[in-house]
Amino acid sequence: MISAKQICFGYKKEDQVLNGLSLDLEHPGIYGLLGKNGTGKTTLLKLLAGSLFPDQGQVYIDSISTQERHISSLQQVYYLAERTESPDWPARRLGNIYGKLYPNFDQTQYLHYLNVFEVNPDIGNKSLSMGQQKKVEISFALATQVPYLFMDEPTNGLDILSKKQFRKLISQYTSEQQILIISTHQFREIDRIIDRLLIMDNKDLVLNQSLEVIGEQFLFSDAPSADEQLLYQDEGILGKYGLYTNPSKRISTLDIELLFTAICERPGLLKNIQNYENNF
Amino acid sequence: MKTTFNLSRLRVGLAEFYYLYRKNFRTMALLVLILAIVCNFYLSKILFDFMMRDGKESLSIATAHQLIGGKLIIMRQLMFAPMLLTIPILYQFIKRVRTKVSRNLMPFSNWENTLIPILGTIAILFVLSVEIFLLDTAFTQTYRWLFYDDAMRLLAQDGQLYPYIERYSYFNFFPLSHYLSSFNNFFVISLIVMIGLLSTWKLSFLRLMGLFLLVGGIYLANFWISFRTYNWIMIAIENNNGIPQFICNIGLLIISLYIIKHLFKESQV
Repeated sequence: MISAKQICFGYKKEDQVLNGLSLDLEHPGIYGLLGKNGTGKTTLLKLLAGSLFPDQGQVYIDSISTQERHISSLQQVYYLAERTESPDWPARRLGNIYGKLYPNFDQTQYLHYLNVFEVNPDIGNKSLSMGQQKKVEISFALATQVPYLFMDEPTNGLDILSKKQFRKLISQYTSEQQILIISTHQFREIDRIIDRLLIMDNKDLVLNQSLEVIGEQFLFSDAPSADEQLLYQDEGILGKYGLYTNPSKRISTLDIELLFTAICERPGLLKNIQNYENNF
Repeated sequence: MKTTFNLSRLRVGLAEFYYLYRKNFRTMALLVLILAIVCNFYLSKILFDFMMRDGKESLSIATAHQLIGGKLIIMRQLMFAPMLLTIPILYQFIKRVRTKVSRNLMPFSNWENTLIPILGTIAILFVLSVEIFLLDTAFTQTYRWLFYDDAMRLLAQDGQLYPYIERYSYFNFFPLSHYLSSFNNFFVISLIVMIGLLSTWKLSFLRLMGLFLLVGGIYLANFWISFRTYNWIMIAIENNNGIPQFICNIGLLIISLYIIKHLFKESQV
């Protein structure tokens, strides 16, 4: 389990990016991390992974503080950065060398992922396009099979087909014990594969909930019944399509974009809703 | 118990170091070769003049004096200059660990991150020293084969029946102490550079240049002192020799390792 307790962090003393954020990641699954630009999504991922240390509070990976940089903790986490960071090696060598650092790394699976992405494993990284370099890093990240995998804007630079392949690989090969957090602005790219939603706003995590519970509490509909109260409607939308309360637990298709906009524009929206699975 | 050191991870780190910087290493090796050729064919001109001479022309007495003199030390010192390129390698390695999140989070302990560049630097310096040794052997043997008999004959005719052949003459190999002192100098410089680079939070180009100039200045000062030592015998105790120097270096190495390890521990990206 990864646990963050009342963490504060700022790149400058006077400018806090996160302020008193708490989070427990114990349920395996695919998490979508959403937030406006500059709300601290990347910072949160780096803090959870142990690349940054909080100014106040602590982050623990299986009860070990990330500041200890314990090998057993580092072997359980992989952080896929937004920009490609791999050295100028062929993908095969990347797996042969760095793969040995992760106990569950599977070279065969790695080559299989590369094959799915149609990347030649014997071509140097610099000879590949940016999208292909990203595919190599995604393949490596998946092949590590670490319990905690963090991906920061993984689909940036991928073409439409590759985004499809990415979604397919994620849903097919993420193990049931794995926690995968995908930070992205592209809601529609992840809405079909995520199990849980994390939304950041105002230097804090305002929503941490499974899609199932969100679906029970909110209705996304253009035909509400009398007892379903309108919570938010996008400006310029014709008809009654909007976000409603869901007292009768009706099933509707989750509209992440609408939910996200509603939360950002109406901060009081979640006041009476079970927005945290852990109440700190 | 904390796992801080593991041989298989160290091997992975050294493989990473090798594949990342083998091109730099090749450049260094090539530079040593080029400098050796340039120094022996252009700067000393002895071999160059020999190749360009008319068939009947023999060695001059001035050249015979030059051959037994010690001024080759200047040129031979130059052959060690490419080893200074270990500094950019250390810079690149530290920059990678300090700026790439995925590398920073790889399961390497602080001790492993400390030892990877140090062992890598030792390996580079060792292989380059072997290259210099082989080149020195080849050139010295060539000088002996081509000029020794003629030079001795000419010097005898000039009245020097038992001429004094300088330690660093064209006819003598580098002494082992020269390799050891050069190796030691570069190693100490590498440690200081690592500590300097890790101490600076942001690795800007200007800071790197400042460090480079500082270390280059120390190197040139050391080079000048060596030159004076060997030619005028002004310093009785040679630099980098003897047990006190060895103990001092071991102490320096241990302190440096702890400082570097501590600085790696502090790293955040």
